[in-house]
Amino acid sequence: MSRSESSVTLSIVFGNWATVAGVAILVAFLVLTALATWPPAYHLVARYSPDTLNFGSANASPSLAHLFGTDREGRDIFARVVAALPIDIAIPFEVVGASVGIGLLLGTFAGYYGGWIEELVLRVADLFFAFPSIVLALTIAAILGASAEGLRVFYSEMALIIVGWPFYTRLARAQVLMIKQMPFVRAAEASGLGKLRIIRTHVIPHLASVMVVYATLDMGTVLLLYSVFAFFGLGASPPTPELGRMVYDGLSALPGNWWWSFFPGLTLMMLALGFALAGEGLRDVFDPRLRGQR
Amino acid sequence: MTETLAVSDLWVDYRTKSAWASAVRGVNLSVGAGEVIGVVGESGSGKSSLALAIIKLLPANARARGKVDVLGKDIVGLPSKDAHLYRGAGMTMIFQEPMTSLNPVMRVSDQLSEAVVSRREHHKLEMFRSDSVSVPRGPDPRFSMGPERRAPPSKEAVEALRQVRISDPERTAAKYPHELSGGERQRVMIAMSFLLRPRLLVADEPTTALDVTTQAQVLSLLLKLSRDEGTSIIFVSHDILVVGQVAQRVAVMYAGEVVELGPTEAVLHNPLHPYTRGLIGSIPGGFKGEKRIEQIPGSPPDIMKLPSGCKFNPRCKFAMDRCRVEETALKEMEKDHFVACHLY
Amino acid sequence: MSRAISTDDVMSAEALSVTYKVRTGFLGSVHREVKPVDGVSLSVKKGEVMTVIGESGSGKSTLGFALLRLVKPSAGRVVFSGQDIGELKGSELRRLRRKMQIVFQDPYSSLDPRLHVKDIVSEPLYGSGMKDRADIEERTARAMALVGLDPSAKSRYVHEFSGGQRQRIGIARAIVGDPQFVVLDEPTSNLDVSIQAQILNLLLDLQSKSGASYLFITHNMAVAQYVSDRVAVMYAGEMVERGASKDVIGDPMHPYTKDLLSCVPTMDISKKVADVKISGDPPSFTDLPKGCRYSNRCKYAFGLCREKAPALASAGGREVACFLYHKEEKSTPAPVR
Repeated sequence: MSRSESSVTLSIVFGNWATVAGVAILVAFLVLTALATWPPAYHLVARYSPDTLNFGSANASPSLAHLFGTDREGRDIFARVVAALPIDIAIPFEVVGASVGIGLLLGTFAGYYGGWIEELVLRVADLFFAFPSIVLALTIAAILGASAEGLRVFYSEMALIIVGWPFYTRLARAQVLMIKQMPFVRAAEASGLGKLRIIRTHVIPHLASVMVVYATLDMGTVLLLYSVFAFFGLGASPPTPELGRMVYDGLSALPGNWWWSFFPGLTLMMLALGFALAGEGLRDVFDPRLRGQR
Repeated sequence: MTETLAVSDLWVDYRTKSAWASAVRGVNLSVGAGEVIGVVGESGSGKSSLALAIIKLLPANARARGKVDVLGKDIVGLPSKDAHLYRGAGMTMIFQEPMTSLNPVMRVSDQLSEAVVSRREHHKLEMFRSDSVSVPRGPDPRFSMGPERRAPPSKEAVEALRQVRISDPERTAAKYPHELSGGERQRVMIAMSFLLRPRLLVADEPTTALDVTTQAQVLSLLLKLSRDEGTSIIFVSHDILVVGQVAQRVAVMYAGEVVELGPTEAVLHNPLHPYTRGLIGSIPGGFKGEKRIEQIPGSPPDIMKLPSGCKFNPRCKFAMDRCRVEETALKEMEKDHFVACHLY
Repeated sequence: MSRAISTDDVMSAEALSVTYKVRTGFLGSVHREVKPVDGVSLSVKKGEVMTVIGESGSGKSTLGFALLRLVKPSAGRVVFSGQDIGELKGSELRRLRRKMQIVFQDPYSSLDPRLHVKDIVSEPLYGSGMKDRADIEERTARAMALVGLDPSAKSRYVHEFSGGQRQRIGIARAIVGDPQFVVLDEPTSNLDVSIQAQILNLLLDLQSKSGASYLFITHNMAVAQYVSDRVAVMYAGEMVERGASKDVIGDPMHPYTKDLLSCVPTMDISKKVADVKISGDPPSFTDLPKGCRYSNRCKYAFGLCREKAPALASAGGREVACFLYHKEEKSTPAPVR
């Protein structure tokens, strides 16, 4: 990206407070997660270990000593929220990354080559579209995960990828059909470049920007979907903390010990908001209408 | 009152990140009743901004300064919400791509009927009434009930389509804009102008997207409009030869300024400004190998980075030291023929 | 019309047609075939500029694409320097491509905004299978210098250039592989007049230096006259007149060519194109008139014109497809179908 273009990009990003807020939220979470997973820095983030039981201070409401309060076993909820972040942040990246990868590959070939490849890919994608995604994903995760407790997270991710790829496939194909008609692709054909090389140098780079925007917007959704999985016990095995599971566990104590589910829930919401705002901002960055015209 | 339009010291500025950049820089222009004036310029010359300022349709990030008197009333200071009083029977505009100015979900006949309604309401305002044209008095649309007001293919609409030489006007009237060809759409826009009988028509590159055969038809219709209805026309184009076909006077614009203004014949055959000469010299003419066309070196300046002095000096082969420092102003060299150049 | 392909011909087409299937009617219920190029024969000799003149919808651009096999012809033969390119395999055709190039109309959308100038310009070299980096770089720099681009601009992106400079990049891409044949698809119609002059002169200089053959596609008569050795006029997918530029443009014979020329504004402003009376619009390919395709707009049309399609045949030192000039055909009554 040239200097003038990147300055346009920066001005679009920072010209919009919502994008700034989204990016700031994500950066804050990433820093927090990074510090919490690096043992020497852990004490900078949280005072307590997430797994230390301390019945003496059980059921404490939020205070300066325990920002988010403590649970039934006296574990610090703030420390448990921080400990849950790595898995809750990694899962959207993994799931969306895999879905985008599959969608990009299948959609690009379907769109560029057409014919029976396209028919086959689209029909299979439609098949998955026909079911409500959350129901389908929960069913798949429940069936796969029923027997193997240790692999439950993996199976849940698989389920989310299975319901996620059809969207990206359709998106990629639609974009490729459009890009294929662009005169610069015609020019590349006229230059004698092979199909694979045209896909690599011309088609994918144009697709990528659109895919990144949708992927970012989708991260929050996947995060919340995964929390639903955890909520229903389809996530990691206890005692590994997970935001969705913590919300569920706290429900029984409502309204008394509200902080058990409130703070994990709030954290989930903030993360999802961060992804959504950043995604909106990226959309503006890639929107050619906002670029210098002419 | 002889002048339909009088523009004086008009500036159009666009808001940029850091400051205002001027696309039109102190333009003076007047158009008499029934006169056709051509405005010629390349991309970035400010010709379209001038057109939009006259019709008061500048985008939100632009501002106009100076005076634009339409029928004796200044419209620069007029609040945008009152501008519609002037558009329609007062003044109207046709664009390069007529699709953008036609409503895609309305049949052609309904859009034409709207023009009729608009004209009738406007002609109640004394100022728009053209003395040369008798205004037909239809039933007052405010008191007529539904079908009258939104009359299906009214006789007038079909007649207007026939006037612009659309074959099978009844069938065309029942169509939607997307079902028409580019040439047909532009003729529908002109048919609308025939129905509105505006005092001033601003045409921004109205034939650029059309084939030459269709262009000839559209040019002839515009001339007919000015002759029959006394409509004054500002014809904006990048093509000086097309302008030469319809305009009595031509204004040549460069970097937001009028650099030459005069009768069409004089500007085409005795161009004074080096830019006009270059423009005419770069029109392809003759067979291969007969004569090499001239080319103006470089490209038009960015309005954000205008040179000092005469704005054409970096591309001008006659540029002198004075041209690089001192701005130019229009001077009358022959009767009605003005040029802004230090050579004169 | 068939004729032996002469050895002077760099590119020739015989009875070339391009057919598209279109859907019309409610929800695309009606399938129809349209032929934007309908049985066109054409040859471009070594070192000449042949211009195809036509209005929008005449099929002129599709013809250019079909010659380069950027669209697949539905019938006919295309021979490029002695080889029938319809018989070539994909990889053989790709290797040949740098010798038959194209410059597109729109200098914005025809250049990939995400590539550096040098990657755009060198594309035909990579396409033809060249591997030697140093050689590619050198040829790319030479092509850029030839079109008047500063070779130091090679690592910049196209959005930093004006329309005229972008078109120079497009031209550099076309000439980088020393092509024998270049299609120029309205290369100046999106440019300002003063920039058009620069580009036209550049193209003529490049052509006379390299001796390549050009097929110039335009709707602009003045441009056609300025660049062409020979011209061919297309109307509704067919060729109606073809010959030396001086004959066809200087003294047109086909009524369509005459009408077209009379519509072109010139410096002589006393000659009003507005006085030209041509009725109607060019026909759409789904609704072609019977017989000669210009018969519904032609002021000389007579009975035969509306029944039988005239073939391109020589008359007055060029070829014309019009019954006004083919008396013998005119006297024989056409079979009534």
